[in-house]
Amino acid sequence: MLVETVGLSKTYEMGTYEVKAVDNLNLKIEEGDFISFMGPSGSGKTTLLNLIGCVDNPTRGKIYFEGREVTSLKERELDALRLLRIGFVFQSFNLLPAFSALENVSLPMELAGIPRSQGRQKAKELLGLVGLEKRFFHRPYQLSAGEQQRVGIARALANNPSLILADEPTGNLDSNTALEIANLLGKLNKEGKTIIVVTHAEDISQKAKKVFKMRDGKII
Amino acid sequence: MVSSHLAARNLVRKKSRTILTVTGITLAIAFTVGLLSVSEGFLLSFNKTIKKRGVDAFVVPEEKGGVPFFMGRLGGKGDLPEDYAKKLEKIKGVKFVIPVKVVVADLDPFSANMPLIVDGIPVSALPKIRSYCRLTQGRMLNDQDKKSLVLGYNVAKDRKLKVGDEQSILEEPFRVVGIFEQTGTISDFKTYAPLPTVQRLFGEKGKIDYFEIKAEEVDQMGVLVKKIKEQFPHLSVFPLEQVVRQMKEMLSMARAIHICVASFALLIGVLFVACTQVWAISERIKEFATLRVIGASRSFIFKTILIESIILTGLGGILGCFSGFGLSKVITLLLQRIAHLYLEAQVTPRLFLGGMLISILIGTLSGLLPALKIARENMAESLRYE
Repeated sequence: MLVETVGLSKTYEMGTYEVKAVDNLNLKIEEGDFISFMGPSGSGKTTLLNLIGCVDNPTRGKIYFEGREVTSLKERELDALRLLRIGFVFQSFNLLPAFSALENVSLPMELAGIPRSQGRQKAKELLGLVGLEKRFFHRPYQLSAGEQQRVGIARALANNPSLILADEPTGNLDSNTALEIANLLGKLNKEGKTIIVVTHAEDISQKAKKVFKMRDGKII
Repeated sequence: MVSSHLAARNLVRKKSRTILTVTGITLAIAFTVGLLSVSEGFLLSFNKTIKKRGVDAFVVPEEKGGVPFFMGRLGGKGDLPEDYAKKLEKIKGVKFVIPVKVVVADLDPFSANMPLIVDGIPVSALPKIRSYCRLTQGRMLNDQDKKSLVLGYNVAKDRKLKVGDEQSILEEPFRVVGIFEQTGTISDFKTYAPLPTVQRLFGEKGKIDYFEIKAEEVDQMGVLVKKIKEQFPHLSVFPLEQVVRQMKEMLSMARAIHICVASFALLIGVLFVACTQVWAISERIKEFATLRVIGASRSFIFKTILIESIILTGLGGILGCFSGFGLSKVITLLLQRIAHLYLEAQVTPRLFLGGMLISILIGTLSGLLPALKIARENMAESLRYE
């Protein structure tokens, strides 16, 4: 079991009333899974992804990652977990504008203490894997949206994580590019990566092995 | 290492902001260093002048006793009889006495040259009381010299004079016979002429402004001062130590004022950088949240922002110190040409280092608040920030 949630809840206080973004979710995610969470805006998809990715803390419940309960971990341990075991792909790519594609991909490795030259070599391989071998030294603004998302995916793979979390990875892409990204995620899953995607797009969900629909913080 | 790399890249990316902030810091540091260089230069020159001086006390008329010796001496009207020197020399404990007449010649505010400050002294006394001055050209004054001059380094440089050239004083021609090396003391701005010539030229024969006294034993200065006062109650005696004390008091007051004004400039610098940093950081909330999400620690974020701020102000500090050096030259020129104050503003290694430390302190202080704020931001909320 890669990830397990037990009675997972996240509640936001909005003035005098509470909003249950995630409501008592029990979920099991096996290694090699490709799971897609679908649902309307405000259904709690991104909140769930943030909780699984240790970006946010649950109000109640527990999360187990590789059999280890993570909700009680110290911040430093959570940082290390996100750095080494989880890769994140964002809707708006979230690349560092000051860095080239190569530097963006090698950044997590440098943060993990891998020597720069070694990190750069691995980053080149990863960029080659996503088809950007000729874009190493381009800055994000010099890349198309699809290329930026490929860099984002390469960055997510940098420290060889066991889980990839993608929040609307095709949300800012045209349909052709979205399909390319969906295929790339599918390919990574076939190579053994566990992938959880939050999306509105059907084409990406078609690649998933399991599709969960969410509404009001619950899986329906 | 990654923090520094990221910080440097961000600064290069936002060139306009970086240039503006560095310019602001450069100005603040340059102003501070330039201003403090005045009192620093004054202190250095004074220390050198006093320490190297071959005398132990100064004797001036009583009415000037209330003002520091240095301030009063140029106001002299030649009202001390020169023959007091013989009586002073007879007092037990006095080694020798040098009468000095100071005049300011060629005082034209529209002239490009500095006015000439001429010290009229007995020719044989010059090597005694200016023993630290080595000649770079020519020779010292001798008994045969009537209308000869020995120039301080800056006077010769300012007027482009060399040995053998002619220089007029009150329309009388004088021949330059010697030029001193640069000493970093007030002597660099002085012109030395035979005492009788200066007295004749200004119609004050037999009159001088003050005496310089060398004691047999410096430890006995208190006794010697008492003896001089007993014999000459209408004269004031300033032992070297007292002059030093008076000058240091004056300098510390001037320095305190300089520091107050400079602190104000620095405060503005801190606020300027802090505002720029807060503004720059708030533009990049999502960027820092992304870094946190992909595994960067809070301390990494904190360090990156702080390093960015310190690079900015450090760069401004280096440029500011060099600009302050340039400013000190301008101040020196203005002081000499307009205010006729013969001192050289100096940017000493101490001042340079101080300027650098202050700039780094500004960087740390102004980066601290935004760094703390951003490092504490909630990642999930910051990721939604647009």
